[in-house]
Amino acid sequence: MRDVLRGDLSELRLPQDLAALRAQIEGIADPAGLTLLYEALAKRHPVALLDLVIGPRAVDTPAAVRAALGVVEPLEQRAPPAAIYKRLLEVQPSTRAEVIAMAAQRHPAAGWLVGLSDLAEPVPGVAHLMACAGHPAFPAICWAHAAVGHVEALVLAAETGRAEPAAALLSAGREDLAVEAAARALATEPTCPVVAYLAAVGGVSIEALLLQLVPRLKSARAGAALQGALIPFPRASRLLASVLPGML
Amino acid sequence: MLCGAGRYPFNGLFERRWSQGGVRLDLVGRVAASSPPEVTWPVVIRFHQALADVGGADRLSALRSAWDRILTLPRAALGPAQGEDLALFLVASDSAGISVAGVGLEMVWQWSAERVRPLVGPEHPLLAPAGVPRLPPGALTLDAAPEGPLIAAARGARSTTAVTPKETLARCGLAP
Repeated sequence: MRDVLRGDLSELRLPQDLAALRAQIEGIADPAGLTLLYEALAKRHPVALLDLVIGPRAVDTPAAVRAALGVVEPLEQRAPPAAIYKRLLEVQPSTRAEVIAMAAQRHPAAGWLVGLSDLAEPVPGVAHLMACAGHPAFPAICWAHAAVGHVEALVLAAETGRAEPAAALLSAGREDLAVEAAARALATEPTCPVVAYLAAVGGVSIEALLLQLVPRLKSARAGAALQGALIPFPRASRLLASVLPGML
Repeated sequence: MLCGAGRYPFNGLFERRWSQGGVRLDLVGRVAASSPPEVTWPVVIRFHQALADVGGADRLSALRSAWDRILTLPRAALGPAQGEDLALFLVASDSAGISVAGVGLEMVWQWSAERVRPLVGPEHPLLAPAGVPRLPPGALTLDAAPEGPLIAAARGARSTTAVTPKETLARCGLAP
């Protein structure tokens, strides 16, 4: 058993040695010290690895969880990803940000991440939304997070320059936050089509929202880009025309 | 105009209201609704621009004015379907009466708090296929002013009547 940490499993007898192996892993504080072992287990004893990582007596040290993140690909071939990440989130609070980030990176379109976000993040949904911003499922994910009240994350996700977070917030009835999200999206990406998305969700009566949005514009470029989009809304257009010359 | 459900229920919706000297024109339309909003919105803008100076000395000339502007829009600027998905409902009135016209409508109802009833039968020419027409369609002149608002449903908008006035307004994109 001495050489298991170097990936030599020739002396390992399973399942007899599992308890001893678990104890040895629990004594390792550096996840790098577990890398070779976990990789070897993934190849030769994947069921034992699953037991150590997400089993009822999963090793709950931060190092063990971090090492598990290094072998998630083979783990996901043996168990449902949702179950893996949920268990990793449960066993060790201090590594939750890393776990949810890994889950979001590998499964940006997964609906199960919406629920896991509550378990993992102080502002639930941020990691998932940020990881998903370039994915075709981003609109659906925005709506899913809006449906469970992850509004703060949607406002932050608007800083990716996408319009969908603002639209999802409007769809959820959070007009105030929709305006804030739209302003942040425009601050990042002045040509972001926020008016198109807000109108697609809110219909022809969104001018009140736009009147709140215009004073929050932070750049002349965003204002200039918005001019053409505001043509159907004369009051908002006039307001923008009045403030645009003073914008930097 | 009663719109559909989904993530972007009012995508492609536009309206224009004009009145002068006792003549009034209310127009609501929907175009390129199945495209992403960023693709649809420039088309909506084109309609707004085209209809900016709409008007007329009476209700029929106001209707004609709207159609003239729409029929001359370049099709290439009207979205991926080049305007073939246009739904449009126009209501024009003057001291002599009210006329309605449209394309791409599945149904038009007279709506009031008490009841909702169809304005025309399902085969009526008012319920013409979607799309920018080659020629201005005819107008239906109403025998009497409707008791309440007229609600039109664009084709494909799941046109079952909404249950409550509040819901009806919401499905039209109008704040209750």
